[in-house]
Amino acid sequence: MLTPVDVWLFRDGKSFDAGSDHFARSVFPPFPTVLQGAIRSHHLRVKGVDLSDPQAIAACVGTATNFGALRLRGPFVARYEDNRWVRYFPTPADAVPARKDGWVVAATPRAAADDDAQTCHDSVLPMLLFPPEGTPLRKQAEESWMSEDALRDYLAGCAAPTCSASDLFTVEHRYGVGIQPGRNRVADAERGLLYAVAFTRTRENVGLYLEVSGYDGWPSRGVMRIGGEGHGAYFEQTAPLPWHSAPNPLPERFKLCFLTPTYFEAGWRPDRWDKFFAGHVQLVTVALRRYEMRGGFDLASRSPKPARRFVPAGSVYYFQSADSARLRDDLVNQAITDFAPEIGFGQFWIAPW
Amino acid sequence: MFEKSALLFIYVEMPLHAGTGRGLGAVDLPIQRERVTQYPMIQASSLKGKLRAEVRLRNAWQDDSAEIVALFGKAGEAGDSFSGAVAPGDARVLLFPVRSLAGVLAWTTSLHVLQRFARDCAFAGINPPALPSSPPALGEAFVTSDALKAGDRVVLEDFSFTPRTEHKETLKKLADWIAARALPNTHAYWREQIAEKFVLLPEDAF
Repeated sequence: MLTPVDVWLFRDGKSFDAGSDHFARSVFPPFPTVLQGAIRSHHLRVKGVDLSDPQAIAACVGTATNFGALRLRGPFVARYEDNRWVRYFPTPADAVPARKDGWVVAATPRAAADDDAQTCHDSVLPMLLFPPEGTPLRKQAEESWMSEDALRDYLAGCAAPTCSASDLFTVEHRYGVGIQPGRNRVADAERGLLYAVAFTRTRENVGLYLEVSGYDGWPSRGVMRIGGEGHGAYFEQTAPLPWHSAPNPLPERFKLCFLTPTYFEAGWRPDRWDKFFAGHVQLVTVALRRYEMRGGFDLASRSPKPARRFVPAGSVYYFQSADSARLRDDLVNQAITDFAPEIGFGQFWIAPW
Repeated sequence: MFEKSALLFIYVEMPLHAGTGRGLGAVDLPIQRERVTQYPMIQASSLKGKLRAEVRLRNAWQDDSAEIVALFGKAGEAGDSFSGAVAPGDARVLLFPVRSLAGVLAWTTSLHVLQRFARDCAFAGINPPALPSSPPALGEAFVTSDALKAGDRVVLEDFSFTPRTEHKETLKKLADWIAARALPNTHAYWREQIAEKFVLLPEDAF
């Protein structure tokens, strides 16, 4: 578990230099790329590696593209309640408001051709998502969060309660000026260097849950640097939380709900599903939110990383399979993604629909 | 990565204004506050700047000297800047002085603030004394002596509390511990005063 010492700043990848750009924004939860950097950096300190020796560093934690033995699952927002840590996930994108306020239920896939009002061409996706029978058509549920218990109920077809992001974390705006080097007063502020940064402050007992494997020798608790401006995180080893394993074989009709962002070279879906599934599967419909553009800065080479469009967590893909399809045995880190499966991208839960 | 952590105590001698610029509400120049609790604070960036300036002045170093840059980082063009070895967090309130009808002033705190302080101590490898297991009830205050009693009440600003002394020894030990670390040796009188006028308030009152 990671809990903030005070606030956190996980930049969204947009350029910011407190000069020409005057506003920086934090995103929460951070991308897996942020956590892998923090974990690997701290692992070097745990192992007492000489930081001036690139070979020793590579031997310990790998390189920018080779993560070595490290495997991460998460990060997930978590809150300590009822004497246990409870993970919270973004409400799936196929959720529609249920009759009870603040509750949601999954939309129902139906063949697009069945509905005379639809003009969707079924060569791409043969089905569309509709509210359950008897539920009035309303706007998609606002972006919200649900606990892991609620998500299990939701994936089982039941209505489930949601909570607002502000119940878990909030934004704290901070303003700064650049002071002329060697001076000591706000009056000596550098011209034009007025900026605002939106930090993330978590609510009481809220932090990030991250599963780490492949590294040993860590103390049971400590402090590590994480995110921008050198803010800290308290870390504590805790008992692993149960993971919803995919059924094997997969049901004839199943949906894949991403719990961490994922990336496909071909865009919102991979060029071939057989990279991840053994047996034939057909994508019949999908519920997506807007892509998240992320890049970052490579500290090793001191250059920007390429920006990619990620499918956000909460995206849901609906499949049908004619035979007994299953997940491939050789999936890296049990992830469905074309990018960095080792460090937490593409984590998912599967449920029948 | 962090190799060591330590606590820095700041004792405010004169009124402190760590501001956030212009405000739109009733206060023209509001102070920095934590978003969730509204407790006053000093943002880490402000603290870091002052520490940098203080270290520079005390050692007569230039701002771009190797020592300063290694400790506090370098701001430069993209790819040329790096963070320093020292990373202060936000300065958070621990004891807040409040006017008292008896005894002139009281140093107030809450169990939430003390629990957070205890957590910071634990991760810095420091063991503070034990804390009370529960906060005072609304309208009550845990005190360490009779110094703040006006009759049978403790009156802080416009608020009146029933003084409770069942945690007197626990709080006195804690107050002594904090005062010994927060105040320089030249402030012996104030260390005694903190121990004597230490008040634990209910969360909502604090």
